[in-house]
Amino acid sequence: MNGLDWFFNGDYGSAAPNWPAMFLGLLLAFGAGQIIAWVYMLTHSGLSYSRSFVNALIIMPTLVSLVMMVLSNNLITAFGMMAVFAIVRFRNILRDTLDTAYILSVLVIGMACGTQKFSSAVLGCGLLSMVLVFLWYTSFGSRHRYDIIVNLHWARSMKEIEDLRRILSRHSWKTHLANQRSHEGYEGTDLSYRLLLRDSNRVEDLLSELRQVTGVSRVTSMLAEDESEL
Amino acid sequence: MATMDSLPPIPTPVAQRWREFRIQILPIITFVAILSMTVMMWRNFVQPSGLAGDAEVVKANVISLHDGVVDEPRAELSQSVTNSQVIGTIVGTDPDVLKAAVATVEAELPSTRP
Repeated sequence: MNGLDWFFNGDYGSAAPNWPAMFLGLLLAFGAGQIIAWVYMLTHSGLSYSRSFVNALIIMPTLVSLVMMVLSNNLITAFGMMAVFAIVRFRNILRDTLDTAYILSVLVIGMACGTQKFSSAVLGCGLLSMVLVFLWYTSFGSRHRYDIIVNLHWARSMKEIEDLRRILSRHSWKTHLANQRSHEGYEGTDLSYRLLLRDSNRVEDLLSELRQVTGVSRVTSMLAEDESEL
Repeated sequence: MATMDSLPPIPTPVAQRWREFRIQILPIITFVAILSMTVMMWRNFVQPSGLAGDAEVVKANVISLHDGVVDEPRAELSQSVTNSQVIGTIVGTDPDVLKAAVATVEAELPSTRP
């Protein structure tokens, strides 16, 4: 710790900072946010699911923890922060919760610099950046991951669908039958599969093998990008 | 479970495996690492904010067997002392000397009356 004294002595707050407690608080907030986000992912139902909101659930506890540390019971600083945030919010419509978190991040870092808590500013900036990169790199919050949507017409009986599934399982880790449509007077069934591929560069091989299966026709595919689940 | 007529899966490239690792496994590894660091720091740095305990005051009465005046105290206020330690000296007064002094005063009293 002695070698980093120059860094940890960079806070000129009214009270001496307790660095281990500060680091523990930030880590605990990050871990707790991750638990809450997982619970949200597990229990959320409906169409309003947003990966961005899940990311905000993780970053917010860490961010608020840093805000409270920088404020350190200073009511004037707290009012100042709320005023700046209100001004930014007044001129910008923040539709995304994660955008709000980013605004709050730069506000708290600016506050830390302005109140001469230089070490806290550097530490908070580094930790928040690491968490945000982690969320992006791991695609945190994506629930229904798939690489490709395959639509086809199955002319045989559904009892013989195993022939088709064997091909799909050969090329994909996960196979999900998203849609199955058949109606009276219509021969066969229209199927729509979502696939998480074993090798996303061999889509053509998959489609070629599917077309060779007896009873399969009208095979079409659509690649799903990472942004398909916002 | 693979059935008898299941087809062999196509090989998965390393890049694809790494993608699955960073999306599925890396968040769990990160969480476990954070949890371990949190527990370690909690055990090392978190201390109770208050302390409850009993305080016992040891009192001792110091007496002298003879009359006298304390002379040269050898202990300061709130200083710890041990058994048989000399903490002061008593200058004693002889009773015969006192009686003689009283008798002298009584003898002189009539001569002082007008």
